[in-house]
Amino acid sequence: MTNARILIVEDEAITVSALKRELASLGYQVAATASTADEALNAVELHKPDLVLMDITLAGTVNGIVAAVAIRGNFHLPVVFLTAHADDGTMERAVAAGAFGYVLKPFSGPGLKAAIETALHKYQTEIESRRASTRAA
Amino acid sequence: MRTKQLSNSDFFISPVRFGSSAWEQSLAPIHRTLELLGRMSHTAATILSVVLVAVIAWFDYVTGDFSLALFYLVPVVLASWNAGPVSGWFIGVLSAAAWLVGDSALSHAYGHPLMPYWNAAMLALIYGIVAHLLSTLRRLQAELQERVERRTAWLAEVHHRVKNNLQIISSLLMLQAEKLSNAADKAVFDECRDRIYSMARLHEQLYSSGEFSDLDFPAHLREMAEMLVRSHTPQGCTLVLDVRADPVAVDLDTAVTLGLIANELLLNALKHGFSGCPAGNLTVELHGGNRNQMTVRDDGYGLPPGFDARKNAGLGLELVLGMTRQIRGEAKIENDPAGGTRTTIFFPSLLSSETAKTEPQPKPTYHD
Repeated sequence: MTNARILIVEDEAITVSALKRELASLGYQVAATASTADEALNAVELHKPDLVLMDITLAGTVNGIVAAVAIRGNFHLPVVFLTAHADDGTMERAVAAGAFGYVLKPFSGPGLKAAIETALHKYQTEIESRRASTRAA
Repeated sequence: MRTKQLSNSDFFISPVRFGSSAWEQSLAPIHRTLELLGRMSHTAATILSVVLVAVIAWFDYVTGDFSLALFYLVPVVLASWNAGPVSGWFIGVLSAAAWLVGDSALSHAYGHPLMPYWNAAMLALIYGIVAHLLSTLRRLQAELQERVERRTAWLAEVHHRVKNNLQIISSLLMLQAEKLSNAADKAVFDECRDRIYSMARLHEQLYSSGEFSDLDFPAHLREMAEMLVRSHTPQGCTLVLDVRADPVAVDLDTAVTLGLIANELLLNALKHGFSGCPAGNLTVELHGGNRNQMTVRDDGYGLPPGFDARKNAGLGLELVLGMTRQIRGEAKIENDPAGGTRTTIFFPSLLSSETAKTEPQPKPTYHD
């Protein structure tokens, strides 16, 4: 799904700049960027992206996993984590938070694209099965 | 729409793990019991110890001449482990007093009237020393555990920062490359990013395994080859990648260098081996033995006639030759009889490289 609108939640300005260019070169649109969990929630409400690309260590006191749970709970959007954390504990927490994908830093273009496309596809399937179950009820 | 104030602690998962071996499994109930006892409050531990002293004293009285003095150590241990030295000493003195009461009630005959008091005092002293030693051990254990946890958290933070910094360097290279108009110049920056990516993945594997000895270099080689083929296959070419990597043990320094060598060889094959070809095969092999060997083979155009690695080496090949020398290896670059180029890196096995560290470095040889 090219042209998907993506919200970048990342507190490292240089990484944000690189991500913007990488996503554009992969055919996606950057809906907005945020560096804290609160900014991310406001940006989701305001810009209604198709997917959120979320770092785990964010500026502020609330981390990306907590922000992802709030985004999943309130806006039902797919969240893909983009993080340098590769330890089992963080990955388990990310999975428990309903992650649609997990990309490790430093990212590669093909790896990023594969994770985003898989997440968008999974999300689409989730919506369709939810619609089908609503119709059946 | 937001209904709840968020905090990071809401999603903390405690990393409690039990061992998986049969021996560790059989010890699990004991671990759980000790864990429960360890969580007991100071007051509860002291009260339970007093009750235990009373029970043992009653048994001591009922059994008559049989000495149960040793059993008083149970409440002493419980109190000193859970409630500290003061409670331990208190239970120790109480135990000695209980023993004395029981002994007096049984009217044992002694050579001197003060002897039972002397014995009780000795018992109190022994219990007190045990209490003191145990509570000190517990305090040291708690301090050590706290130190280990702090170190583990610090190490995790260092790993995280290393990876984050590699991401920033990679991002900077990407942003710099954007200013360039020449595709060949941009490719140089992309190659640097690939090298950073390769090192980062190895670093990640090192951190995930937790042990230098558990470094899975074959897995790293496979992942790196797949990534490079995904991102650098020439347009219009269908490439088949075949990775045959034996579980060869490689130390960290060699793994980093060997990873970078593989990175250069694969990039070289992808850049020069297949341009304009509709299809091709790329093979990566890693085999152990007296001398380990890593081979990167393609069935592309092969080396140009009269190619001399020492004279015609570009930056990539120059790095390969230098890094091969660094790991005390030997590089063999040749045309494959079946067509294409084959580069083999021979390098010492882990055992022989340990013994060779003190020996002078051999000069590398090249077969072109």
